Amino acid sequence: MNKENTRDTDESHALEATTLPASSREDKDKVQAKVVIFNNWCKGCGLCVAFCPKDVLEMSSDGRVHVVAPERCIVCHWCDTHCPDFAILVRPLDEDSNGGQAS
Amino acid sequence: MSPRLLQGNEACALGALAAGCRFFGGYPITPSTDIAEVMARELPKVGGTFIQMEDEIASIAAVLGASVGGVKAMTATSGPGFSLMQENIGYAAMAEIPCVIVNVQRAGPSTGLPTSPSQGDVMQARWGAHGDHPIIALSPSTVREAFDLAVCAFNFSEKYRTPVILLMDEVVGHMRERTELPPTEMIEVVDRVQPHVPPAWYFPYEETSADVPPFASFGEGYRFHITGLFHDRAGFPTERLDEIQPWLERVFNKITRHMDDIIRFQEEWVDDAATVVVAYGATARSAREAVKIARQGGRKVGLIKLFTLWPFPGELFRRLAHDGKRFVIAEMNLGQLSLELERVVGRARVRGVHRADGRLITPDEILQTIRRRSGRTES
Amino acid sequence: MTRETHEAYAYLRHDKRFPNMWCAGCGIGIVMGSLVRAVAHLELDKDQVAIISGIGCTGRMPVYLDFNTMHTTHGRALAFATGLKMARPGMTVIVVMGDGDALAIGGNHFIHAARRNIDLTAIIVNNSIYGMTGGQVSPTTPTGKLATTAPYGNVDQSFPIAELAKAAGASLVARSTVYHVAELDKLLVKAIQKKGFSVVEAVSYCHTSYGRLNRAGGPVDMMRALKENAVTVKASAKMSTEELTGKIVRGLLHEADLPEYTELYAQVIAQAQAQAEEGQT
Repeated sequence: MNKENTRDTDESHALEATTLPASSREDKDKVQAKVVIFNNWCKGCGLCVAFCPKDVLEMSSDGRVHVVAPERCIVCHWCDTHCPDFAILVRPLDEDSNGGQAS
Repeated sequence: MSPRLLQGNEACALGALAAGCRFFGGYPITPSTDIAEVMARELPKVGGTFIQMEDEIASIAAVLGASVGGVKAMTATSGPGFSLMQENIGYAAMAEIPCVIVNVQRAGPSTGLPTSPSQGDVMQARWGAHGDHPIIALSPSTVREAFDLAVCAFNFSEKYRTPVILLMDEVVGHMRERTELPPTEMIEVVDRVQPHVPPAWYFPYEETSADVPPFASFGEGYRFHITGLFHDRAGFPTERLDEIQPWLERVFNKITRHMDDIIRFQEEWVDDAATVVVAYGATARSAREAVKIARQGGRKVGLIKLFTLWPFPGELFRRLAHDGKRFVIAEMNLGQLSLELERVVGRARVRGVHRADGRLITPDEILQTIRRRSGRTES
Repeated sequence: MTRETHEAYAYLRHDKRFPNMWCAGCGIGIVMGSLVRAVAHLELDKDQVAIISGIGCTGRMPVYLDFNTMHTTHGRALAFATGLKMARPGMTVIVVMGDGDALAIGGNHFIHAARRNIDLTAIIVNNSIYGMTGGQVSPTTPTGKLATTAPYGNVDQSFPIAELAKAAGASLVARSTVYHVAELDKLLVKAIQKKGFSVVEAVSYCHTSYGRLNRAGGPVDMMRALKENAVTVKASAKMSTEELTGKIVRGLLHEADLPEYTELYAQVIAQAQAQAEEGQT
């Protein structure tokens, strides 16, 4: 599954999921983090999906990981410290205001 | 500098220091150990590094690591150690890392005769490392030449970004001669070319008109990749034919397009000679004596003493053969460089004087063959 | 660690083709991430960092990293690194090797680098197999397990990495796994900072060869096994030999303050120069 593309570092082209259709969100949920997946680098190994403690991620039919429930993310950073391909990144939304390490 | 009694190995070490060598990584082995001992004593005085590594493989590896760090580096060994070093010599050729490997040849194969001379590693110097790669190998026949060719070896390695093998033999390495070394200001020292461009534009394996890409040192702001895999101009591994083919061409061109500079030899009495004696290393001393005696006896004999064994100076011999000359080649092996000579001028024109039993070839042995060679054409 | 995960990208070579060449789920990429975070945490100058590797899947790591990188010959990375470190003692030289590269063909160089206590950080990614060449037995393949060159089960004992490194003279020895990355990050920081020969064994897995041959599952299963079988140094002290069978002891295993080789040689240089000035040699 090795793709030949160079890395696109612009996060806006990556698969973000911070906003969901209103019908799927509960009022008390507060999205804590932006979970970014770099499609071109994800090999679909499934580690992040299997070990995410909050089922934020799912493997999709295209063989890559999709973020299905970003509001459940507790910013544990298991996924982005264990991804062998640097294909997933968790950015806490309050990162800049706190200015520091959140985990 | 006033003349002094100097050992061949010692002169080799002094030549290396004069050429700017500041790193020696080696392992003791007769008859090369004196070089290590001189370097162990002298290098720290000039702020250089000597390290005795755990084996010869580690020695050449450390040499390459130091060279990549920008320091002129060398090792010294003999047959068994030279065999061990081949993989990393090949790595140096592939990665184009300057370094000097001294092989003070002793009789082989295997443990052989540790304290007896030979010239049995000539072919190994050319093809010891696997795969197709060019190499430069030089051979001194006097203590002074050991100094000069050590300097030359470093200069070639820096100029052409290649490993260079200094093929000595036990006799030249261990003999002591009254030697006058050149004054420092007379010694030409060549350094590797540094990049002309900023780091973002630097490609360590770029094709340039000089055939030899500049070689930045680690730690100087140029961060690049070195590998023994086939690589592109950035040093990244590749399997592309359009990157492998040009590399092969350029790396061989590095040598073949600079033969004028790389081929060094000395000729005496060749112009009117019908027979030319070809020799190198300790054997060249006997050869010269034989040629002198033959000339005194009225024979038209000349001498070519080779300093550069590889690349083989084919053009030189082709030209001489074209002029109708015949050859006697003497070497302390059972026929190694003679194969190259035969290849170039034809077997019919070549007679060999060979022995591989740890004994020097005497002037008399060479004279006998000269007489047989030239007997039918002259009195 | 948040900021550092994001900052890791600045340490990858922007002109190198990604994704990396390892199998999906391979632990080597995880070690690479840990290494990069450690370097980022220490705020090291990229120009003064060198990564030297041997041959094998782990050997493919340096090319992806924006430092001074060198992919050398099988087993010899520590010897190359010794030369570079002696020539440039100010550089941070990190050596990455697989278990076969470091301990089989590289065993002798491993011993002597430790004996010298030269200031290098040796990271051994231990997946207990020769992965690149298709799954042959390695010095750390557990007894009884299958490999392509041990089709009846391996009869060898596993190489005692930590004991040997310590006995030979290393001043820091540590072990963690690609599951326990937070610990691995910290140990790598400590190892890189330590002046002397530091060994960090990063226990990983090869699901492609070892996993298939030994029915150990895919990356998720093998990752889970690391989680379940690793015990801390502290916990292991209270466990019996039987309880420890098949367990991975993780943490800082050994640390000592010992004379470091480049510093010792600097003294040799000073001595030689002083003697030369006095006309003694």
